[in-house]
Amino acid sequence: MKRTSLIPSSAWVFLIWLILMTLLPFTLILAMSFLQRSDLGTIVFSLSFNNYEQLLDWVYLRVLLKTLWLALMATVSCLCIGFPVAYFLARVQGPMKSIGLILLFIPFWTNFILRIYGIVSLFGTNGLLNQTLLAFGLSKVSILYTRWGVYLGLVYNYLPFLVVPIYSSLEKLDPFLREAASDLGATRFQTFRKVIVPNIKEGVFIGSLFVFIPMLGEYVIPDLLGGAKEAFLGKVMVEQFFVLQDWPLGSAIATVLSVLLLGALWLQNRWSQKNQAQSEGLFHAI
Amino acid sequence: MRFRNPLVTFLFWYGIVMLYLPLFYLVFQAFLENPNDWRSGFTLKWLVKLFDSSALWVPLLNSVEIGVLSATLAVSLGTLGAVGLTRIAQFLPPLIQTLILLPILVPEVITGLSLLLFFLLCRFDLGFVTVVVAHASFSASFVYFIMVEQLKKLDPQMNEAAQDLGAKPTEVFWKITLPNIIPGLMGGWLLAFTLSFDDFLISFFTSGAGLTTLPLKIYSLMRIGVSPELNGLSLIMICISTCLVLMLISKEQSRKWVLKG
Amino acid sequence: MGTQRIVGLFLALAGIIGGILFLRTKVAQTNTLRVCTWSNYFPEASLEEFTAQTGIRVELTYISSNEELFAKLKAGATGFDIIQPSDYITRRLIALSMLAPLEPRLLSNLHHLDPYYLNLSYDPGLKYSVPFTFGTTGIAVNVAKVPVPKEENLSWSFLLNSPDPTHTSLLDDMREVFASVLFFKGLSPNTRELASLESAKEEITQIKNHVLMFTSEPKALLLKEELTVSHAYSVDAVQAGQENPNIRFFIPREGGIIWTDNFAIPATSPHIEQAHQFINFFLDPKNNLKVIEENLLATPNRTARLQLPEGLQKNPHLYPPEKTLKTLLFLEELGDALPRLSRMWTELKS
Repeated sequence: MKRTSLIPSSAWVFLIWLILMTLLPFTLILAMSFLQRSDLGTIVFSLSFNNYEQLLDWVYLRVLLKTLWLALMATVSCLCIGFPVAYFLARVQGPMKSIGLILLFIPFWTNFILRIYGIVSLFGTNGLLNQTLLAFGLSKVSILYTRWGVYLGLVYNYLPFLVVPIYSSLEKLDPFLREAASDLGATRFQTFRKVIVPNIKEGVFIGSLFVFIPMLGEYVIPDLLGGAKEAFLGKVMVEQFFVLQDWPLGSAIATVLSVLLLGALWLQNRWSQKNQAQSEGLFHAI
Repeated sequence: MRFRNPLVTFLFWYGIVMLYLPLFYLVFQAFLENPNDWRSGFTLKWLVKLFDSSALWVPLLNSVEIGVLSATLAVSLGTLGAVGLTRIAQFLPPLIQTLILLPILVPEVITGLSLLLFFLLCRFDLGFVTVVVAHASFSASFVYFIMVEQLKKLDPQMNEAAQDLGAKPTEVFWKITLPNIIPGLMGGWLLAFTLSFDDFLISFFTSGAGLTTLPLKIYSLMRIGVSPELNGLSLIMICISTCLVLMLISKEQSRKWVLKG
Repeated sequence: MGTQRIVGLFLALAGIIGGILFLRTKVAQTNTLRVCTWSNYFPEASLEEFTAQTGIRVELTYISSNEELFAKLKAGATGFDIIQPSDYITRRLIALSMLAPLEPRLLSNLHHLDPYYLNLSYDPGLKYSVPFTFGTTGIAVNVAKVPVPKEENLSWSFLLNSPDPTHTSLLDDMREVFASVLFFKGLSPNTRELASLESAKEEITQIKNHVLMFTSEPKALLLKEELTVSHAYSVDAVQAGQENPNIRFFIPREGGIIWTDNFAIPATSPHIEQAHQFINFFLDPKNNLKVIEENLLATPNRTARLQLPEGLQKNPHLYPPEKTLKTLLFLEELGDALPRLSRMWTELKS
């Protein structure tokens, strides 16, 4: 094989595919965000930052802040529930490990619309929870179609996506590190705090980030579980495209979200010199 | 060594129960006389009704067709990329690395919207073809990473040894190279199929004309209202996903065995 | 070398898949009419009959909102032969010359339409569209759960200050929700005045915190009694009423919105003649009757309506009496007030 060119020709097929089917569409969104909308909802080709200025309006800022807050709470909750699960899976040995992994992977790969529907059937007006409450003579609670419904939906749907990266970073941890620490007289808690936490900090952070950012763009969960009463960022974005006919503004929101994501990636890259980390983390997620 | 920390063990099972409770209840509901009352009797009538109606078969067939085609396309592209880039994977310029990771990292909503925009501007008819292409466009990157791992393990000396022993290049390919990458190919294909089969958002945005996949069907049933049919569909989806996961994991497991053994 | 063969193998594979996909687009286009419609408009049997009569296959695509349809068309989606835009989107599509003009000589059944529907403001003389069905927007109430005042006294305030707010829904449609409040305030639903819109917005913000949800598909929830008072389209309310007679539909005394869903042919349609055949087929009273009986739709087709059983023909929810009809209004374009309204909608949900 020729070694003269940096990238072999077969790889170009793949790269050109990516450029055509990924980069180009994103560039279109970026370009669209600088255009304008006419009264009839068509697109006018005049360049301006108008859409971004519009986004600075307090309406959108409030939506952004509200979405950030909700996504943050949901991520933290996911972390609280998910960490012990990942920790157990990483530490346990023997057949229990395989069983545990399979148990984790089935919901991970179950369709997410179904998982939302699961939430509906548990917490709906006539769901399992309310039926149980009624059976005990208590009054019904309404969780669905409130902000709580959205929050529960986010936590439930994203939980597996956080457990997997934490698990893989714990897995990569050298078991001798822990043993060495305890040989040196560290208590279990000290080992955890001084040895485990610093070593997996990055993995947990990346995992959280890749849960947090999609939550910001989440469109289906607020739509189905929130009763469409409140606007979250993803919903506002999709509505610009399909309801309000303001494609340029919707594109501007999409661009802002993507820039947030790429910025976070860049930060993470600077944080760790190991460029492979996130791709390996994701690979292990598979 | 057994792991004994009762608190962590408890929290693990707590997490798992939380994950499964809604799914189990969905499956359970599919057998209830009245899905909104768990004290009503059991019945198979909803499932029988579902199997008789086209509400199941048309979307299921579409989903499978799209899955097979897009997985094959994704495996072809991802493998082509991996074959070319394996040796220099670590030294790729960050720009190209980001490009490969982009479809995995960007929230699906944005991928879906951007592909929609792209297809519409290119005057592609939205439908079967666009969905297949869209699915392949994001799963190719996943396949790429699997194949890079797989090809790294491929020992170049093996080929040389075979050639030294007098094997023709054709024989080397069929007897050495291909069998060695087949586990990766199958794993990648299964993964791409699963991704496509489960995908909702990207299909939602790119399936303009008359195309319903299983997840889209479930979504529209859910919007219109919760019907017993829906629980039957959920049951089927969960079964298929479970089978796919078991297949994927057993692939992974056997691959590890081969490596260790 | 092995790698070159792998490359060859997969190039070939990718080529084959590409070929299959390409062929699929070709096959799909021959003699198939692609109809973009609302769910529950065309029963399968009627479509099969159309295929049997004309040899033209029909492929249905469902849309969930007018805005979605418009978004797709505007962005250049091609390949649809028949679309079913509502009145105000039809107006917009005509203004943007996105519809193909209809040829009256191909629509021999046009004379069956009620003359009222031949000259609607959005398309006078039916140059671009043919009304297929119409309906109204009002309030659906489960009268077994919530006591209602006398029909002629019922006002929009029954929805806006619902007696059972935790089981109340509003339509998830900006124009309709604003219209209900504007009607209540005695204003036109098509007002462009900022002050009126602003005060309506204040009102909706208040109401939003009490009601259960916004939804445009309340039928199933009404039947499950998760909703008892619901801002609804007449079609949904009548269909729900069929299954549970306690669910009744009211048009408030201040008036309501009337809408039509039409047949139209996009200018980009490759099968203009077959599309006319399709429209004409469903204008035929015989075929029209089957559709409207099956799906409980109101028809502008006078001949078909006269053949309906008495109960349906006189159903005031489907066919509002003359007196009510006078209070009904079509939604009109808001022009430059629309972006402002959109902003208010986002604002009140934020």
